Amino acid sequence: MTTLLGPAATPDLSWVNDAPGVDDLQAGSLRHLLNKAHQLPGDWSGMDSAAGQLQADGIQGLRYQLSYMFYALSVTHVHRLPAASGMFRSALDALMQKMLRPDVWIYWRDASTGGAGLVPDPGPALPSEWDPVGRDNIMYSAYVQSMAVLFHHLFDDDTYAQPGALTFEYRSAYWRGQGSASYDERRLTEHLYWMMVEKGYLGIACEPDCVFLICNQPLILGLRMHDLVYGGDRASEVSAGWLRAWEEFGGILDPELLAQGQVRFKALALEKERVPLYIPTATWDFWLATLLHMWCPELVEEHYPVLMRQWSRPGPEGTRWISTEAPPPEAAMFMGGGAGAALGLGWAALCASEVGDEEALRELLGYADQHLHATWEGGGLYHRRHDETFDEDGVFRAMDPMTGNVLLPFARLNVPGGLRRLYDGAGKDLAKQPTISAASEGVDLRRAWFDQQRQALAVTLGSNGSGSSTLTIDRWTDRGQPQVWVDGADATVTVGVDGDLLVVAVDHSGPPTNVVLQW
Amino acid sequence: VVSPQPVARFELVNHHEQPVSDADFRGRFLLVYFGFTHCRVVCPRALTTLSQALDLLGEGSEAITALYVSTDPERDTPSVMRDYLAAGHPRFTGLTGTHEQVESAKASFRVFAERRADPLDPDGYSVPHTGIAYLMAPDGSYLTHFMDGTAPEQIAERILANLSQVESSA
Repeated sequence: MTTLLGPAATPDLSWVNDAPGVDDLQAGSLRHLLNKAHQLPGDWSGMDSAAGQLQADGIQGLRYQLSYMFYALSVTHVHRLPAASGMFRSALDALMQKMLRPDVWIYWRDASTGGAGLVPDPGPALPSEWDPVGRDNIMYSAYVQSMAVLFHHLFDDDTYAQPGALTFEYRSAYWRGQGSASYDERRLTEHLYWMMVEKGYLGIACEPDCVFLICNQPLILGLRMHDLVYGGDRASEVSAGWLRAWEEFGGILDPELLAQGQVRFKALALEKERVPLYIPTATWDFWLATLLHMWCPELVEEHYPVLMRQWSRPGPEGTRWISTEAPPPEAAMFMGGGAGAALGLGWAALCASEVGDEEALRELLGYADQHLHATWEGGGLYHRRHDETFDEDGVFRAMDPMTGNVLLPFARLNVPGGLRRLYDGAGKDLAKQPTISAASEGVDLRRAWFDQQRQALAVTLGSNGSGSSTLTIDRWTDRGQPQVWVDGADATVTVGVDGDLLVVAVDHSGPPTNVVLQW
Repeated sequence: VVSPQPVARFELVNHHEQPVSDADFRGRFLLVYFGFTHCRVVCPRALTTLSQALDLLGEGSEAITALYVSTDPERDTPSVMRDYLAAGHPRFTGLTGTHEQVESAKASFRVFAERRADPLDPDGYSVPHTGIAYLMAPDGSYLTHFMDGTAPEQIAERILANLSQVESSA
């Protein structure tokens, strides 16, 4: 390795502190997501709920925790730490690999036979299927598809475009159960797109006959990512078709409540019966609103204030929580949370972060941090599962894994319009910029930002990683050798070249340290 | 394994009351639209647009067979389709068949069409359907599709590009 530059006279680097990054709590949420992503394959510790639906099709299921971790990390990468591709690429790839494991989709073998409690007359059982993306089950397939193409979009990496890269395989040595289905991101996209066409754009079912509005939104995101990677305009076509189909179906909102000045989204349509159903909970309303904000922000922003007002309850010391109105019994199975579910609060916080309601976000996170079992573990911040909904004083205290592991970290890390801007194409040029492709273990990365105007890579190292931090910088060679400055008390920096990589070693302690590489 | 893309595979009856299958059209590009003759707005508009696109192609359209496949076989007999197309859209050949044959063709092209009550229709029903025109290759594989609302000039341009690409790779 050749040493390029040591520390030099430091110019004014105050601009670095105005660049996006993560604060202490956000760094904790990010670390928790990274920790979960890098749990060993098959280790789902800390992810099961009181409802015990980890590997089933309820809304605490693995696929939702994994996919929304994936979206949360994608949003964080694009908007907060865009020049830290190595850290995010490895985590997103790990989540994708987990998503393909049979533990995540094996429920489909049984769920494909139909008979959901919401369907009044499900008829005879349908054939059991092993291919989890072949028909229906958009509650899994759309997430897989969108994750694969989002990965391609963010890293200009066609790993999941290779034949068979999305293979769903299960073989038991102990009984006759076995199945295998093989796709890649383009084949899966084509399949889901044409399935959407076949359905008249109303949507693809989750469980047979149950077309949920929510689970068709990730497909729209995935089609948009496909358009950004491969060209075309399928996302516009399908989103317009979806809105039109639901207009013909009476709209996506409850018209009677709307006339009374209230807001409630429809939850699903029964495909055969052509009947819309509601699951009147904060979870359902805020979940759909969050996702719709990606491509239909005007509609969401029109109704969001009423929605938040309807469900908000004042908490102590300027905080707020979300009403836990119980769903009707026939819909309860879809909630999957059971006792101890804080999903309404989690989705409300994420929705607030997406629409940019900073007051509600601050108050909801404030309530969670004060009352809902905030826990630091392995450098990560999350909210520990708690199965009692209210304590003896009537204070809401519940916490579930989806909310504690995923939704609250996501809400804390998101930026206003974070998903919408991702949908609009943010991140498409990241793969062309200098980036931190690797970092030594324990690095507390608070900022990784390439400033186009200054042609400078700004890195901030937090105090948690005091000592020696080594950063490997990629995609810099065509710019020549950079000037390097370090801005931190008692910090020193050494820069060397190792093939096409720059190796930046920083010794630092105390408060956050800024390192700037300028071309 | 379900083909992720539409494929031209069908056994139907043309508007001359002759049985036809996709094999009869091998070697020809197909421009295929699904609809029903009682359709008040979508089909007349789409068939007009597609006919204009074919007109714009001039001699280029000679390699293309335009097919209009009924999603309403109960009312769309061969003679009904013949009269309907002759009156307004003579570039198209109508195809219909039994309910099962039509359902099979719909599945191959991955078309949505569903019979619904319609008080404005004299018979009390209509058949809302996918507003897509398919361009299929001479081997029956999918090339591209055009959404309703696409301008004839744009359709003609994209057809020409696809024809050139297929012919240059042949």
